[in-house]
Amino acid sequence: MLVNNKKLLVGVGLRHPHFTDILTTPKQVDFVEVHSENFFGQGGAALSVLSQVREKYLVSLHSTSMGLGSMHDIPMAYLERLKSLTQTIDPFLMSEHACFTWGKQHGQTMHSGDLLPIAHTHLNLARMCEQVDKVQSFLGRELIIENVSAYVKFDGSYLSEAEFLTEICQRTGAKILLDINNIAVNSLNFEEGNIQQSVADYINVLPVERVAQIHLAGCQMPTLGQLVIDDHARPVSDEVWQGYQLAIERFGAVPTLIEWDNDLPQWSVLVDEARKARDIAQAVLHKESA
Amino acid sequence: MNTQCESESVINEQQCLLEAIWSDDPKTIAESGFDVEGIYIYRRNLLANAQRALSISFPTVFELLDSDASEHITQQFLKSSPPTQGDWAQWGAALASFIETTDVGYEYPYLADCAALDWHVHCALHGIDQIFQQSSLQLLGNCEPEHIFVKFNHNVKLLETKYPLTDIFQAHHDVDEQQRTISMNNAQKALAIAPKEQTVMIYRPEFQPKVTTLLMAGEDVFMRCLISGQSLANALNLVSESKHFSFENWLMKAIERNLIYTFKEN
Repeated sequence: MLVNNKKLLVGVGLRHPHFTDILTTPKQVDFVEVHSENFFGQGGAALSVLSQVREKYLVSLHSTSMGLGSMHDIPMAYLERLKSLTQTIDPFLMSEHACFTWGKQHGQTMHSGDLLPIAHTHLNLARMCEQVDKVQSFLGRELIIENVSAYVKFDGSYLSEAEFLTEICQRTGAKILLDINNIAVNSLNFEEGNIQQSVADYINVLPVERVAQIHLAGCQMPTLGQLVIDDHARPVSDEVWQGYQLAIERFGAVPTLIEWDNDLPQWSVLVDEARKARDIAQAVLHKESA
Repeated sequence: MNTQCESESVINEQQCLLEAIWSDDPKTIAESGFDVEGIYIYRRNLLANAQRALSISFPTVFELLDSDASEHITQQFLKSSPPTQGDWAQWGAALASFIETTDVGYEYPYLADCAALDWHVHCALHGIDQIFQQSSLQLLGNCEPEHIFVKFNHNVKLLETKYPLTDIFQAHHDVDEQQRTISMNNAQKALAIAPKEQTVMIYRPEFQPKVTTLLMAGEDVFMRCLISGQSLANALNLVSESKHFSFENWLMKAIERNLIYTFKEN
């Protein structure tokens, strides 16, 4: 479907157990997204499969370890591997998170093993812009930066995450990856838990032309009083679908991805979730173009 | 945030969060100034991610250990050798030597060698794709062995051990159930008798790495000599006394197994 000359692209996250499915079934999604680090090897079956997938599908590279907000520099070895993969796969999108991952232990660089939140301050903004500039220039590619779910808050934050991302994009030319489930998780963990309101407040701050991708995912809802864990192990929740509708109303035909990382379902379930995303987006876009 | 963290720079703000997540001291966590429940979520995520990563890279070791032991090893290994590369798949090079220092490594002395084997197999799985440069074969007819050198496929590794590693590996990973049972029996029998020095080879004919014990007399000495960069003549000299070593047989098998990348003249 073309809206304002933009085709609505809907994809799914591709994980190892679905390699055979994607290569042996008819094309049912527009693109796939993989975690860059899973293909950092110099060769082997996984990279060969991804190259075969690339012949049939657009591929988005989603990195999870770069830690653009880290005060410590991103090691060059990491960037070299990412660049090599980028040159092999020629992705149509490249994304990372607005978080930190690198630190020091006993004087040695260490990786946190997780996406850790940062305080939304001007100091962190400047640091993240510096890293985004460096990475974009090194890769020769535009980055798309994703909002993160968090389990701790920095009291020192005085910008909202949406303002923080907007400012990064304005200063560096990067784009925004809007993860609606992450907004939902943070809404439940740190705000009133009115997901619709949180999504609306968030997306209204973002400049329309800067949002380049949307992520949709599901997670287990908490028992009362506990923090929600963003486990990407469930179908997309009704609240997130409603948030998606709002996002499409505001941003139009933005490439949309179904993320599912744990307790993976059958490939057909992912394809059905992608179909649902397409149906919702098309309904909104039809209504707007009518 | 507590007063100490507030007064520090942003580097320390990030460092404070990292230290709270990586600390085993409940007091440090409680006094970090961060939401304690949140810190414990990050801690559980870290352990789960680490355990998943090691179980993928060290499938034999994780088959041999029960869940409590593997969780304990993971926790201890995280402390002694935290990830440094941003890719869990590259984490674990030091696990074999770490296991040697642990109680479980002392109790099951073959475990560290199993970890070394797993790591080499894991590296081979993601190693560079190399196929034999057939045209280099003509050097064997055109050059003296003194001037011929062998560059092995990047994914070939030799491992010296006193334990029946090939059988232990096959007992857990062979696709044929009957073969797994046979290998398990062989491994148990071999472990019950005195340890015997042997060389295990990891190689990758196509995409799936294979494991085998070098059985041909002199094969291990011959290969080590070539791998160390010595000429074919030197390697052949080492096995000249062996009645059972045949270079022709070895070469045929080596090509079939994709052990050689190329012959070089020097």
